[in-house]
Amino acid sequence: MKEENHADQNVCAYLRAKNPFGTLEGGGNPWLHLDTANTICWCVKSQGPIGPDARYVEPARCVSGRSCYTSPEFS
Amino acid sequence: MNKFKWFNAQNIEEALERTNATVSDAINRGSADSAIIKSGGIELLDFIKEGIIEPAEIINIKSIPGLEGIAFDRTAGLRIGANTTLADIENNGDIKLQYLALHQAVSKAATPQLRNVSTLGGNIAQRTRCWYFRSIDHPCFRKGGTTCFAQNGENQMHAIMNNGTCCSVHASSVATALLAYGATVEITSRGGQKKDVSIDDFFVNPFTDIRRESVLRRGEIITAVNIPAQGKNVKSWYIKQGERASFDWALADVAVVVELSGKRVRKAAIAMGAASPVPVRSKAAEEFITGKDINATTAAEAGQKAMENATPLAKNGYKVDLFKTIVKRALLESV
Amino acid sequence: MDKKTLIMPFGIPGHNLTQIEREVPADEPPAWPVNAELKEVGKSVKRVDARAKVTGQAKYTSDIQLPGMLYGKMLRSPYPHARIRNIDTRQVERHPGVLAVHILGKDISMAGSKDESADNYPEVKYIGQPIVGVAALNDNTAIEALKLVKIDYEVLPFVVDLEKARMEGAPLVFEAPVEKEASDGGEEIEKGLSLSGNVRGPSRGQPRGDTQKGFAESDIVIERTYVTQVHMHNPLETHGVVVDWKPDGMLIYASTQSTKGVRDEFAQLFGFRKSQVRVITEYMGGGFGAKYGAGNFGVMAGHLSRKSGRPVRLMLDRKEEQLTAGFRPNSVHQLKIGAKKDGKLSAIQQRSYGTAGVGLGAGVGSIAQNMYECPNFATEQYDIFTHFSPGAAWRAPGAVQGAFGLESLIDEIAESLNIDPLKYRDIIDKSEVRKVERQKGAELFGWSKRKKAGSDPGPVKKGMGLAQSSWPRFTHLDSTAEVRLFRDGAVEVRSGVQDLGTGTKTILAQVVAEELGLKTEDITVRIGDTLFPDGPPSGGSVTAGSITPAARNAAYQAKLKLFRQIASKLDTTPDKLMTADGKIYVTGEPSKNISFADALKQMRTEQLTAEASRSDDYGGMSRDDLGSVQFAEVTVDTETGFVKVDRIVAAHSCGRPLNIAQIESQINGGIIHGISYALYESRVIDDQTGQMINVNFDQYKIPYAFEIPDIRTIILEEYPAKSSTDAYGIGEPANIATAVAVTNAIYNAIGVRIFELPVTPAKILDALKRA
Ligand SMILES: Cc1cc2nc3c(=O)[nH]c(=O)nc-3n(C[C@H](O)[C@H](O)[C@H](O)COP(=O)(O)OP(=O)(O)OC[C@H]3O[C@@H](n4cnc5c(N)ncnc54)[C@H](O)[C@@H]3O)c2cc1C
Repeated sequence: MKEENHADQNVCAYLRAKNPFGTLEGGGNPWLHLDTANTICWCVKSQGPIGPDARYVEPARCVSGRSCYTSPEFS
Repeated sequence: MNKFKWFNAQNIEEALERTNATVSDAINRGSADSAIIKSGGIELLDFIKEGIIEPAEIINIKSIPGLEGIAFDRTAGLRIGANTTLADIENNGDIKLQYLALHQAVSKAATPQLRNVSTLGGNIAQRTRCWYFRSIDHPCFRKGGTTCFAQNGENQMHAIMNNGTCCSVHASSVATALLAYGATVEITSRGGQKKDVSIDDFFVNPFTDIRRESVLRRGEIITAVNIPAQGKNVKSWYIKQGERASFDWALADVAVVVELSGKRVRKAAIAMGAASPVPVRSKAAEEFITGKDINATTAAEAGQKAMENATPLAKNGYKVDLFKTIVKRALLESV
Repeated sequence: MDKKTLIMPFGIPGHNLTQIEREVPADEPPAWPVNAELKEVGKSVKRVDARAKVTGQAKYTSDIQLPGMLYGKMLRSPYPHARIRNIDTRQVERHPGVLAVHILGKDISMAGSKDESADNYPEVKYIGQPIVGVAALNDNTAIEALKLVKIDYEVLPFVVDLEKARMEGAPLVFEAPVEKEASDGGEEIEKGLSLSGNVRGPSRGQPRGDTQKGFAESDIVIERTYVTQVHMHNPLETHGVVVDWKPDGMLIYASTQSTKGVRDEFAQLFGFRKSQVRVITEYMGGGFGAKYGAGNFGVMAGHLSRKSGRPVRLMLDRKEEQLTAGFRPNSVHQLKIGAKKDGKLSAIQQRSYGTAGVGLGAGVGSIAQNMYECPNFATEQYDIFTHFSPGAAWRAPGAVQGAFGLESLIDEIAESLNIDPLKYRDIIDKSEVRKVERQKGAELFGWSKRKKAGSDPGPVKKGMGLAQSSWPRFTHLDSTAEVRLFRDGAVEVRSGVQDLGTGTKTILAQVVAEELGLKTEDITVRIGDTLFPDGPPSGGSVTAGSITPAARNAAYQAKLKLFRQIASKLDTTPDKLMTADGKIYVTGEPSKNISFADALKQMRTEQLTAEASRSDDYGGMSRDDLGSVQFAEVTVDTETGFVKVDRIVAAHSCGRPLNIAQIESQINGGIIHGISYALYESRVIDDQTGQMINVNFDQYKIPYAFEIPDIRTIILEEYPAKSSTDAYGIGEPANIATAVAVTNAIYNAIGVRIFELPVTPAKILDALKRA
């Protein structure tokens, strides 16, 4: 399922999910085709799906503007 | 698991001298300075691992010579020492011939590995496997708490009879067969006094005493289990149904011992495990089948009768059907 | 990049095998022929580490003992929802056996752990959430010491039940997010799928066509609701690490599915460069999708090691594993399918919800979207948050839940159209792979003997069923291997990739041996160490398809280097040389040869090495599927409700099969998982306390010897011509179809359908009564 398009977003440096890293499908932006309904995401800084700000993590929300956000450029 | 001292008892006196608590005492009164008897140790170590008890000392009675052994005599019957392993009972030829249901019950209990270690004394003195009772996070009635979590909770494995107070079921499936054969438990207390307690009286219902499941008190030790000799025309059968075919606790088990005259039942004992907090005989089914031939119709009717007084909980109604079926099948198989 | 053209085998031998031209990077090796013409690949080769494993020499993370190692243990919340007012560690700090104490903050990284104030305590959202850790001289001391920690909780209302969590007024797991938040630049950003109460979604997948129209045009429409349980991973080795922190770097032994993922996270968390962090996973005791990342226990061990200056071991015990280390989410899956009289599907509509606790990912996957031809498709998948630890990927996440619904309903439609379920799939399934699998499987299984549902006389009835699966071919391109040749004759393949127990080591050795004309046992495999080139994470069934082409390519490059050094010794040029049977030959002049070992002795340097990576899929990326068809026969006792699976026939494809015995072993494992999911396993939570009550293997039922049926496998050779080995994974595909094949067989036995897993005696008896 390729529904959520996060291509234009700079996803937080600390967000992880099982699929995206290095997969063919996501190319340069591994978050591109992530279906969060079927993927478990976690934050490196909290080692779980609850972010340091007590909210849940996912590519669409782990973006600039969130209090715990870190740009991938700075890590 | 806490640290504890270990004492290898050389004789019964010594063991009784040192022990100051049963597992049930330790659960209810605190276990800090308790010294508890251990035979095979399977069950005792489970409690310690779960952190439910933290005994100061373990009194190993497995080291007592002469507490194990099987003796069979055609008139006196069967005597099984408390330390006898389930494996030894399973492999005993006399038992297989004379007490088939016991052989079947033992060989279906636990796993081969566990049977090599588990003892008969430990088996009938074990506590319920109710998952709330076994959980350190659930202070239930039986652990001195103020509720039975299973009554309104996850009661799919629980009792379908006599279940108003605590709906746990006794863990021993071996006991189901012992009950059907009218066994007695030989208990030795300090000073060497012995008493024989019939297996009906050995187990304690929660509404009688919520803190324990048998009459055993500290300072007492099971030394043997005796089973009367069975007549020539006695037949027996045992069926256990767990969630799996591989080793599992009984969701329902039944032992049937019938004395026949020709095809007619002269006397019947129908014992059910995992139906009630302690193993029970179904008087209604026994009375029904007595004086009748066992056939598909009467056996099925006996199964119905066995469940007459069932009061299943929200999630264990299916056990009523299980018992009806296995009572029927055990009767049919016995002849 | 320079390109060249390869002619490769393409298709299924015995069915539609042809050849295809592929444009590939110039440094890729030549195409391999089909397996029948290979020596090491495609055979049943014994595992290279079989002996080490059965003799106990294999060292797993839990076996690692480092000098001075301490034992870590964590104090976890006994409440599903609470605020921490205060944590008092004064007493435990004074315990003589305790060498370090650490409190996890909201941000548990090095940087985050500097703030030790109460403001930095995270809110507790699940039972088992770790709060404080200690490192002590041994395990028992650590457990004892944790009792000295005093935590003052403000206990809050919680919800753990899926249905209750969906209700209005349920205690909230997450505060409703501010839907639109101003970014730094002031513009508004869309914040993902909506959250209302604890309900998040829907995710709409890739809808196509118009389902309303599709249903209107259907001759038959059936709608059902399927329910699946929470399924635990139960790896024999629990999650855990041994961490040795030093000021200039960290050494971590981890039971993980991704050495490089663990390395990268530790580097980020503790402020090191990736090169300063070394992760080792030499042997691994299973993960099934749950072992990714550093883990809160791993980070805790890191802090404790940093504070104590000693290595710290932190392995979860079984209860911690069950409570906190992941699970397959449950699902309630409403599925509606419309079909024409001729059987063609006209519309599929699904709506699902499930809970992964505090995490996302409880969907039912894309199998209903992808497996069958159907012009109109729509899905809505919701996640429900509950106060429980997060789920984790679990062997074909989503697909197993989705397949239970899809393949049950397809069966039902076939029956109402009066078409045999096997034949029906010929009508609606365009996959060539599954077509062949259906033919071969049906024959081996004896499908033609299948009787009408419920027609067996007597209380004990037999039944037959089948189900299919599809799973995309995923690959992970950042996969590299190195092959080293040694003058003394040794040949080594190295990669950071880990072997979860699936046999990765052995297939690497086979592939390198094949390329070099050697035997599998001639190759030494060194993997599971981030000192070696990065391998893929092992998830999504990517490992074989990602790392074996890299290994073959590296072996090929090493071989070419060797050829260049020894060609003159055989009076020829490097391009004329070839390897076979332990020798290097001059092509066309077999008498001119040298043994591989002798060639190595002639190397200019002591070692020669080459490294290569997975290239892009030949012929462009496509995710076309790895298909399977599984057949089940069961016996159902209608008086007790007990089900026994008698036998399974499983037909599978995984590209070019590399090691038949290992593939069979994976399929066996997948089938056993599937049977267990169908009949036995289920997490039980006590709603009164929010606590999982079957946290051990006594009360959580997994299958043992008597539950395992007779299993026959058919491994299809199928050449997609996509890489230098053309191999793909089997781990996940093996697990998808089994449960529903079993439930379809149960239906065939008793004539009544069960819509909820696991199929317990209670459910069978209940269904029979209602029928
Ligand atoms: C996975 C599993 C499955 C099992 N399945 C079954 C089953 O299906 N059916 C079944 O019946 N059992 C089953 N068992 C129970 C097993 O048979 C018992 O654990 C065993 O019988 C206990 O024997 P033990 O000698 O190890 O007892 P111990 O652990 O030594 O003792 C158990 C208790 O009895 C007391 N005790 C021991 N000996 C004496 C004595 N002589 N006098 C007074 N008190 C004594 C101890 O103090 C303790 O309280 C299972 C156990 C496990 C772990």
